Amino acid sequence: MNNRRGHVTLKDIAAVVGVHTSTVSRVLNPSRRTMVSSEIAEKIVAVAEELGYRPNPLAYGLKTNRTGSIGVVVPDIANPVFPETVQGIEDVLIDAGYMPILSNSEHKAEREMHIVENMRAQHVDGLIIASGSPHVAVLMACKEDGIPLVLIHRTWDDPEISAVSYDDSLGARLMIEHLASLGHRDIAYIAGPLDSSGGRDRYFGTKEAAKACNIEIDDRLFAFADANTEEEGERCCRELIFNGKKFTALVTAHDSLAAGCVGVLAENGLSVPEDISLTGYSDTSYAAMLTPALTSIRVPYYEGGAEAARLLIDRLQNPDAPVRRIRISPELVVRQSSARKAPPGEPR
Amino acid sequence: MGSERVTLKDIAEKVGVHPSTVSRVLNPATRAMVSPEVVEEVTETARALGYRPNPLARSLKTQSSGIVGIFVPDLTNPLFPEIVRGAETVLVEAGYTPVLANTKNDRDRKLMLVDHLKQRLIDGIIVVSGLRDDPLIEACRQNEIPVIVSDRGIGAGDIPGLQMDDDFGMRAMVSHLQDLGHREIALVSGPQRLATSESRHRAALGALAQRGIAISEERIAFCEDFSPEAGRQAFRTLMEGSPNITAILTANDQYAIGAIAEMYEMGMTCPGDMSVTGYNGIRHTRWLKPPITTIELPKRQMGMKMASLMLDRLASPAGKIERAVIRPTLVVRQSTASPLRK
Repeated sequence: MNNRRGHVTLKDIAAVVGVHTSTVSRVLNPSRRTMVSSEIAEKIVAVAEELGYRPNPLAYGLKTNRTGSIGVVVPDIANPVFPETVQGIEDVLIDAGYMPILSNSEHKAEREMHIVENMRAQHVDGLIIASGSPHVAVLMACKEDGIPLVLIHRTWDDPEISAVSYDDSLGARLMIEHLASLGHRDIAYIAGPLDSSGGRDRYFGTKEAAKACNIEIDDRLFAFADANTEEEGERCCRELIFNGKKFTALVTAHDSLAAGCVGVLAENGLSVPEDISLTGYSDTSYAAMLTPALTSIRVPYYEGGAEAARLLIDRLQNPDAPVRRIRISPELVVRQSSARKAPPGEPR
Repeated sequence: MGSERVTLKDIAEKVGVHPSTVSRVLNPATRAMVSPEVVEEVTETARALGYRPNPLARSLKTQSSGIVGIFVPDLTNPLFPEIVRGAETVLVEAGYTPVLANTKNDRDRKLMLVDHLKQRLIDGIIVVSGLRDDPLIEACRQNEIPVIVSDRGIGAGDIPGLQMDDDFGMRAMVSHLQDLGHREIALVSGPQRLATSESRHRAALGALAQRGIAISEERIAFCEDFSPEAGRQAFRTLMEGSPNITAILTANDQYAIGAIAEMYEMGMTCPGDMSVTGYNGIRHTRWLKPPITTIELPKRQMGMKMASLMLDRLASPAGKIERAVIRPTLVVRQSTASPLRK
């Protein structure tokens, strides 16, 4: 019964049941099962199960253009928000019987293009692309093919593409309002990369919120990180201190940026939160590890991933399902790194 | 979609040659059989028409997909992404497509993944795991899928992969603590159902013994997972049973992170009241307060080495079984200092 690599074939099943191979094929294809009498169908299914028959999705894919696999592309698995997103995607897809095929693009446009090209060539049934910076060519290619696509993390103004995104402007506003309510008026800000939608929305959201709270905006209180890394946080924190404009709160666009500030602040004799309230964004594992624990913005990445997977499955099961664009609200998580501004007259 | 696909025949018609000539040109292995002018014309036309090979059809013929799987137990553990990135770099450069799988160490998920990837004619699987008798290994063996493993713990000795020199790492750390003057040392180890944790535990005991440092049972704590929370709990247990220790040697950065956090909550400081050491060298250790002294694994190189072992395996399936020994480095930061004389 076993041929190369132990595959059980339709022929093997047909031989055991004593019917023609095409009858087996009909029974094992749910849409054509009714063409065969129910006793024979039952017998075939039982034998197929007993022999451990599994359809070969490659051969099957050649005929039906369906392979049961879903391409998932993330830009950076070392950034802790993506592993969480991936887990949400995987759990929903695997539960529904789909197989996620995961690739890491390293934020490189050519690599992302190559991965997507390869996945399309592998005939994935659909794609979930999580990335901060949209590569139009990739999206256009998918649209042209008509391959179901869901974007997550990035916002892209194409109403024809389903997407899950996070309301970063809201997150930025929650943080500024929190600090303003603690009496802070001199707030410094370290922005993330502005070529990503998250970095941009958080930056503009922060400025807007500051304006709404009548907080003065001074160029010397802004620094711009090239990446959401500790090293960049360290560099930007030094820059802000060097600028000489006093601040009592330091808001960062990512927990890793905040982690990079901790040492620089200590070096300069500034303690958190007594002298400076320090805040992060994304509520990664850092938040609880740092001393004092970091006030941050919790973004439900797992739920976002799960939602993206559900959107894609809807589309696969019903190609006419409407395009949906879901925006998820983040939450403020207050920990010990933010506190009421020290009253005037007290030593800084 | 299928009808719009550009075929070899379309290209052949446009250029005015036979489809088999086009096929020869587009296969790097047979390209030399065709004259350079025709090669150029065919590749130009293929590009202009937007031709893409159909790897499904090709895979069925060649039994190869160019896909190599990288299986990790938990992508959210900061130890693994760096290893994965190292492996990806080498695989991509060699023209392979790496596909990641997050197994959560779940048996059913692993078997389902292998099953699915086998049907896609996956070329090989790199297994990053410390599980003893990992069901993945058996599944790959049954399906004749080449495997590279990250540690000797997995399966028998007949699988190529890496071998962690934990003895070296633990000896370096114990010497460091002893040089600082520590004699009263406690040990926090990982779950002993994992071969990697067990071997690291044995390495720690060996290093302590070699340096003549006695360690009684109440100074050893075992954790059930790899979380800072487990480290906190271990610290509390140690404090209850053996309050006079001056240093804690841990088998995992996460335990050190948890122990230090708990220590601060109990009103102690590190390294003032107690030294704490980590193991693995995850990113966080450099940025936490205090920055943590640890044994750093060359994560990127580990990934690269596993990928190149895989390439060797694919090139000569019957080649000799290589076990690359990985030596970690001691990184001294601020969580260790001389014990206070009390």
